[in-house]
Amino acid sequence: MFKDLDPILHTPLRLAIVSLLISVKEAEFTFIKEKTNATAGNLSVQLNKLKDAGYIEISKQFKNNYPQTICSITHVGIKAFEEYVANLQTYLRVKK
Amino acid sequence: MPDELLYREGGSGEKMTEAESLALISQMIQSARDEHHENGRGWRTWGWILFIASAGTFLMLEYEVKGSYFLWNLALPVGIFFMVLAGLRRKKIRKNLTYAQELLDRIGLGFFASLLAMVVGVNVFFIFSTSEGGIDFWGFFYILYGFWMYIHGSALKFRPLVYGAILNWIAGIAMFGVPEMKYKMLIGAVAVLLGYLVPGYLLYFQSKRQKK
Repeated sequence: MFKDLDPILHTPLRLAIVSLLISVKEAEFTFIKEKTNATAGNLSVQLNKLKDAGYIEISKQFKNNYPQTICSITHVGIKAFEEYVANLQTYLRVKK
Repeated sequence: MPDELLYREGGSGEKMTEAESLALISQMIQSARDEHHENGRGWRTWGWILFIASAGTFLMLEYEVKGSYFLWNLALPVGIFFMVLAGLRRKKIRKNLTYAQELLDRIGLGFFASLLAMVVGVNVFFIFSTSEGGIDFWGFFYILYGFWMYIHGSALKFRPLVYGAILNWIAGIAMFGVPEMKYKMLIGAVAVLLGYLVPGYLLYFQSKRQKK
């Protein structure tokens, strides 16, 4: 039924991450964790999967001597997300 | 929206229905949009500074105190100092940056740079002008154009337009200090040539290259 939907995006946590990042220019790891209620370990794994797919960019920096992870969506990620939503709409027979 | 939709541990392999997917997307987008850091600090800071400058100037004029307008000259540097402090603090605690916030930051910077240029220009006029008439207006236009160029340049991340904006702000200030009309026009011509035309043609050639 879902065979045409992007498997990278079609999981709750990864879809939640990409939906958050599509709405902001960039977001900290703690912000995404707070919004998705995910554990740090699982979030880290899913972020890396998205990064490996080229959907997001992850940069690390220091703020007040503490490491900080900043995530942002890439053009590839935006395109994949748009395609995913369009496919969903087709399934639901929602007219644009 | 039920919370269990938000997150399921080990979510890499689980399936969702179409409706659940759409609901999750909508919930997350809404959640990110609702997150903003506007606490009215800027409005409160400027509100007090401008109120003190206005009311203080009124009292000084009423009681004929010398140097009646010094509060207005003080208002801008004091305000900018507090805004820079607030901006640095906000950057420290900010966990995300929305597109709207990014644009507002740019507009704010352009606006205050323009305001500063106008205040400096008006002071330059009163220091150097020998004319008995009212203040000359030409510089205001160039400063306002600088603001417009800065917003475009920073939004497009196109530095020549940002430099053009800075040049127009400087040209606007300079016009207040130059009494002769022909030299005002010469300054204007140079500002437009380097600030508008050069970036305009650079953009034109860039778009031509992209089309190829």
